[in-house]
Amino acid sequence: MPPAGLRPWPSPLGTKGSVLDAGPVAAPSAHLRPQTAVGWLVAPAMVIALYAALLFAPREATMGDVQRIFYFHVPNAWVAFLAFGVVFVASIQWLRTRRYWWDCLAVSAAEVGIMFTTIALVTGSIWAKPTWGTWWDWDPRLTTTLILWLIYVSYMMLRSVVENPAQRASLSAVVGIVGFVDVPIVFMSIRWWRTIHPVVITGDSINLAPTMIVTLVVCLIAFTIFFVHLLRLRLKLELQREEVYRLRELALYDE
Amino acid sequence: MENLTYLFAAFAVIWLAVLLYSFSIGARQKSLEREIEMLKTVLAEREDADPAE
Repeated sequence: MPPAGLRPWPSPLGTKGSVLDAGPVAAPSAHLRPQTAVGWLVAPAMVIALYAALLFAPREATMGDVQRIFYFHVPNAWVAFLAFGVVFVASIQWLRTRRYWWDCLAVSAAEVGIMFTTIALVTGSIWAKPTWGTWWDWDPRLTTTLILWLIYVSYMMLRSVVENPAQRASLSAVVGIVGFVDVPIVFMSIRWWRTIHPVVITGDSINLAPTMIVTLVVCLIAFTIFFVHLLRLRLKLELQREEVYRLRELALYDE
Repeated sequence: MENLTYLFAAFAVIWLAVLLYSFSIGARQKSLEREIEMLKTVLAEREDADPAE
């Protein structure tokens, strides 16, 4: 008799019953090819982004070279928002369809999003020290971003304590949907409240020199490509994990 | 000059985090691949031993 936590083990292939109902189909991770056009684009895109940020962009008059952190700090924050947007959509899709693929996508995007939010927080802090004279300030933008990071860390912690896969997917989907509310709050925080954080994009203009805008766009594209690549890798890992559960269940049923 | 130190620190953090995360995905993937192979072998051996099931 398999352990209570393992049975019934819902199929990652989209059926609501046992994995045995799915029949002899290919493992879900087999549908993801190891290398794609996006994978090949990552290295050249990152080299171009580095060149643009360090050499192409002009030296900022007031802050000096430390301003170049901005070209990687903003894209990291952007892909973090994108990742949490994927969690939001995938969580809704899980609750709507109960297909495990959506839960795998949600947890993969959440983990990648946490990684990029961490980088955005740390690089922002490194930029703040020479610019504001402090590593951290309880500014609305910084505070809401830290809350965002904590929400998705809690999302991962919740997943690690709930054993039943369907219950875990549903509970974390609720956190993934509700937690996304903080993303527009983070974005609008510098417009809604008094802040010391720079406001680069205002209602009708971007407060940057044209070459700086080009550099920022190049870095945004490079990091978006990198995000898609990382998400694919992480999703493959999650699907492999589901495959392990499926095989474990087959082994347990055969006993 | 001091500003360059901060710039270097920020870029080091970015690439270190990215590298560590990529290695972590790779290591977890390898471990799962090994487990999948092992489970497939166990199931195949069982089938060979009792083909009627």
